Amino acid sequence: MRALIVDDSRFIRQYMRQLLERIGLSCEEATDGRGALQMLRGSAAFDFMLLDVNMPQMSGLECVKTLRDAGLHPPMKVMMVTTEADNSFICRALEYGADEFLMKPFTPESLREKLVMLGLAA
Amino acid sequence: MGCSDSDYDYLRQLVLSRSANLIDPSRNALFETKLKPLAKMAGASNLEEFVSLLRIDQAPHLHRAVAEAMTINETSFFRDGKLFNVLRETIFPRLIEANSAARKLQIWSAAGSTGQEAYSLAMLVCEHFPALANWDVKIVGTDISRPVIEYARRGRYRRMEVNRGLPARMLVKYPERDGEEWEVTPMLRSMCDFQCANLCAPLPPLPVFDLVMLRNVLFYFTPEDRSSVFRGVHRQMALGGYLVLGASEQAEDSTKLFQAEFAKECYFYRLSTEP
Repeated sequence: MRALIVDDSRFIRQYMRQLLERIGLSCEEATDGRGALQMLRGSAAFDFMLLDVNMPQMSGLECVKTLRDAGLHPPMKVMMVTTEADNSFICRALEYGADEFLMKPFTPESLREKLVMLGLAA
Repeated sequence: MGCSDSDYDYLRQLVLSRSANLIDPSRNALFETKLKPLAKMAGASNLEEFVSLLRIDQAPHLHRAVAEAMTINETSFFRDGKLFNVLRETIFPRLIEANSAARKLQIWSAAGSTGQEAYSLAMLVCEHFPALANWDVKIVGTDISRPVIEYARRGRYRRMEVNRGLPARMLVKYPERDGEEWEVTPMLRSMCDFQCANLCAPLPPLPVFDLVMLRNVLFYFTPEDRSSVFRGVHRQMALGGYLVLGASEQAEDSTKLFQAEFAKECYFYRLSTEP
């Protein structure tokens, strides 16, 4: 399984990579939505995208909407990770095509449980 | 904190006799973390002092509080998704067919901790079985610990708790956000009741259940206590009722009481003799 971690914080990317690799996913990274879309428009195929919301250049919301509208890698599961927890925000993310949502702060266990829910971990 | 082997043995025996919860010596450190607040409340400055106090003062409330504090409250919403798939696709449809005349379903979330399992079952019913809206559906959550039952009754969960197991689509639909907590909706609350019950002691008055969830608790009991719990649960079940255990648990020594079935990589049990 291949995962794309999209976050402007190097610390968070490293942390996520550590957690995901421990679960058995191989990871690549992008620093914002635009960079992620460039990778997805290239030859890279991923099973899972872990997507931050607030990033420079292109936000997570804009990124998920663009990639779903363009039909890029439709089977890829997208999970947004953010401190934002308003129902209206979560609903919008789901409407744009996100599959799941994880609120910060979170534990490694809750990340693993979400991956199980998405069929990406046992 | 920290104390002698004999003090740990004393605590182990106390917990075993009160709740049948067998704490292995390799987990002695649990006594320290779980009993620290109680020791402080009782005026003891460390675990050793607290054990001395327990040995001298045979106050039942303090001994009960120790047993309650040592229970493991690891839980989450929709814990073990595969099992919830079995409930949705196999067990609930069968129960609905069997109970369609009485239009009544009684469910027991035994050793259900802080209520996530009971509320998950309520969400499952609301989400996938709208026809049950006109039925009498009751989910009874029990646990040995009073503070845990109080927590379940409140029905308010923190960010870390709703992050665990609750799909985003359910999060926006069922609990209502109130600041930094999420409160279950009145609809879910009306379907659930919570009360204290020690599975290894005479049970309080409970209804006869069509479905019993008894998950991830049996491995804390001795084989004798496990058999006794199975007999107690069996007595509370309706003929044709279902028993669901944790993914790594089996009703191995109670095969006369329950008949095992296997679906979607999960075992579940059906009452095989009359209670």
